[in-house]
Amino acid sequence: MKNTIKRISAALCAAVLMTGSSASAFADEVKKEEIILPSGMTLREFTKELEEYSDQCISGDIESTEEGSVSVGLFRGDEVIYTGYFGYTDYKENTPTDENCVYEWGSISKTLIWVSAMQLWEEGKLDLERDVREYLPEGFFQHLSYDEPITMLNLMNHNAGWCETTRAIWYTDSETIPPLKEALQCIEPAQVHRPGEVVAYSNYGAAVAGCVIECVSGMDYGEYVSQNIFEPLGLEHTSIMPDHSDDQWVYERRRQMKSVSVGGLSGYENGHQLKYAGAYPAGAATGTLADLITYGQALVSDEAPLFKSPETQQAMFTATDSYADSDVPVNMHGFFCFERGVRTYGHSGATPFGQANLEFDPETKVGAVVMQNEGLSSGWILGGVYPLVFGNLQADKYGSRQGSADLTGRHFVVSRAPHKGMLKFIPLLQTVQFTHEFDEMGGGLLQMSNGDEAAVMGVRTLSDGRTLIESTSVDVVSDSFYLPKLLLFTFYLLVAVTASYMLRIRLKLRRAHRDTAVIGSALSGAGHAARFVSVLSMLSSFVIYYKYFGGIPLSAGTVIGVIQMVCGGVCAVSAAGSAVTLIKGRKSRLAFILCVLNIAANILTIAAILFYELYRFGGC
Amino acid sequence: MQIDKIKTIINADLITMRGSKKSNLLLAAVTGCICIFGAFLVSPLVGSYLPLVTGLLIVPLLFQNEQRYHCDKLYCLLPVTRRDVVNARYLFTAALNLVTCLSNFAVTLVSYKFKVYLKVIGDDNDILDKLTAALSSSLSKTGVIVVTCFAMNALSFIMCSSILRNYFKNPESIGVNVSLSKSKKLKKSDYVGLGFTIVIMIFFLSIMTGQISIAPAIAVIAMVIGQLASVGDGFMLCFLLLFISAAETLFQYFCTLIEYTDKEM
Repeated sequence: MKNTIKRISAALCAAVLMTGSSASAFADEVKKEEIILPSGMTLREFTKELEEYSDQCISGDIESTEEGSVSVGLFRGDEVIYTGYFGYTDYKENTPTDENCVYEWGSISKTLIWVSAMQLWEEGKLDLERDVREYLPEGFFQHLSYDEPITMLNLMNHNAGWCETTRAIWYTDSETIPPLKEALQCIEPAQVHRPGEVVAYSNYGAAVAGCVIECVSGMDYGEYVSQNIFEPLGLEHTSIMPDHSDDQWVYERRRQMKSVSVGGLSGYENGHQLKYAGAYPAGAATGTLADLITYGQALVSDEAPLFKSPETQQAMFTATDSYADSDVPVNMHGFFCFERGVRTYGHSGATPFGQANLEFDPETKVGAVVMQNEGLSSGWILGGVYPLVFGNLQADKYGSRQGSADLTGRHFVVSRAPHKGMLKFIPLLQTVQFTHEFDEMGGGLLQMSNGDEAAVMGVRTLSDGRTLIESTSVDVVSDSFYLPKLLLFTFYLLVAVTASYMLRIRLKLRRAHRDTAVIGSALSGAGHAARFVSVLSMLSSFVIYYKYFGGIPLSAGTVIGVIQMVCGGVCAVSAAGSAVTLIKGRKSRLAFILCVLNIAANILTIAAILFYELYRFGGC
Repeated sequence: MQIDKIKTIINADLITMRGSKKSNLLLAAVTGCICIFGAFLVSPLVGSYLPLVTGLLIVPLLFQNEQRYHCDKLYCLLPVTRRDVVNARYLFTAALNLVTCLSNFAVTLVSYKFKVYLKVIGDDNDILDKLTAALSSSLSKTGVIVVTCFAMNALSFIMCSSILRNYFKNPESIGVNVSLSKSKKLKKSDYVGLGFTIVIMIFFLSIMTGQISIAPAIAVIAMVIGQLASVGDGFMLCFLLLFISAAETLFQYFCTLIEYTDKEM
């Protein structure tokens, strides 16, 4: 009897213990789901929103799915409160996304440069306000236009004044990737703004900062980051080198990942899409969701594991650039500030083969990470997660409206564009026009409201009188001469179209055994051909620019540049020939008109070739 | 160019067109109705294809009776020059096409304004949304509609002028009197055309079955066109399309003048 009672008691105790531990685990789960995010939404609601979206919009059929492979993670301090894996990494093999998927960080890699810079600053080895030329090899920059110093702070704020390079920055063969310094000297863009004036997001500028890290530390940049960031944080599944040679696990995994483009009219897989960034500090990091979460957690930790003292991390998250004269920060030593329901810090990243976002609220220490294998497009998750987690900027956050700013009817040119070299016409095609008035909130801060939600920008006047509109990472500058430039470009295209028809008419007359001299001499025919070929070359440079994801290889650029120079020369000779014909005396009214039109068309083409620098294959 | 002669020639063409009960007018009317209903019930973009149909049908509609009854030789007897005939017919077809294109443009804009099609197909199935997204926001929805209409109108003018030139060269090209019972030896150009058609069919079948992946190529072309179209929300691209269609129409007219003047009747 006693034994029976003992057995029953033991069984009851065991049952209570088991239920208790299950109940405790269950209680932890319930507690976690009731976590309130900075937006006011609970984690349970957030999870439900993502799951509903996934059920409706994500499938194994690449033609109909709205997302490729997407991984989402939320953390709060040291705790990872949510991870979600959606979609497939390989639609043919039906391989679902999981925790072992690797994605490209894109420009989030730049934050590794800024953390490295702050580490060196902490050690007293790097002065953020000193001209970086004092750290770099003699004669490093060949195309500077201004004497003002370029500091590490300018590089962090992306306001050193460089425009986009016209040279291709991706290599297709990992064996041909040059050392960092050499790669940068191949792609140096023109400096088109005075340092400190205009923010133009610059991969080149960030990579130069990586070069400074090399020079100051005496180590290769990749080696420095591995030793001083990856190893201390235990990021074992992240690589920094462009060919992933520093992490064998990432190397193999990346070669299993396929990039996709989904949504829109149809979806397709781009294959493994292995291309290598020469300026690799600006965007080559590749790794898992878990590693990027760990990195984000380090940035919100009060213990600041990336630095010797927490004060350095606090100093890193102080404003280095603000909207106009307001105290609303834009940039904090390379980390961008996002005005949401709460102010977040972070960085986004995009390569042609993947995108990623990292944002965190330093007050609540909640952070969100999204990574995906779509480079050129994205579904809802990449941008939609952040308003759910952090809320939307409320219209009354910065006080009441003090006036209105009417920027409508004006054309603004994007600062992050090639403003020199043979792609100088591209900013013309990317102008910004505002269709609504803004609210002035004081100190140059502008706000655009839509009901309760808002977005902010800054407005300043540059030293040359142009108006500058500041946003998070790229400013737009007013262009009073936009319409004349557009007209020149449009007429350049139109005279080429006309030239093609003149050539066809000439051919038709010849086949019909009629006198072709009625529509001009052979020289004018050569002029027609030159104008047509010039526009074809310009369009091909445009296609190559996009094919190589923003840049033209030197070989292609040289060929196009030489063709443009030859076309310009032929146009000049043709115009001269028509001028001589006119001087000699007109043969008929038709011949006179055609000569005049020929001269005008050739001069227009030469003007376009010179103004848009279509011949400039050397970059800048 | 004498205006009275042109008016007379146009009147003569209209009388000839109405001279037979066999007419493609019904076909044209039915196709037009389908496009207009499509614009209101499916998408405004469906309606924008009507100019393509009119561009193809205007010349056969106008001249099928002339071709059937060999009335083209009548102008050898009348006191009009061949230049006058070409001028009149190009002016008339261009004017007809222009009226059709403008009317269709108006119908498309009205359909977009009232959005009846969204109630029929649902907000999630809007083709316009998908096309705008595919162009990566370089064009607004209105811009997409305007550019599509201008592109279809430009194509319509180009096709119409090309078909009219072919008619002047060879009236049988509008194909009313083709008879399979007549033994007709195929020419070399027929074999070339046949071969070309077979190659195109194989190419499209390969795309449809996924053997040839064209989506990436289309993505690059769409991006380039999108960038050109982004200037003034499609203004520059529309202007270029108009210019190209006008230049092509003038070129076809010019070639017709040369060919028809030299043609042995």
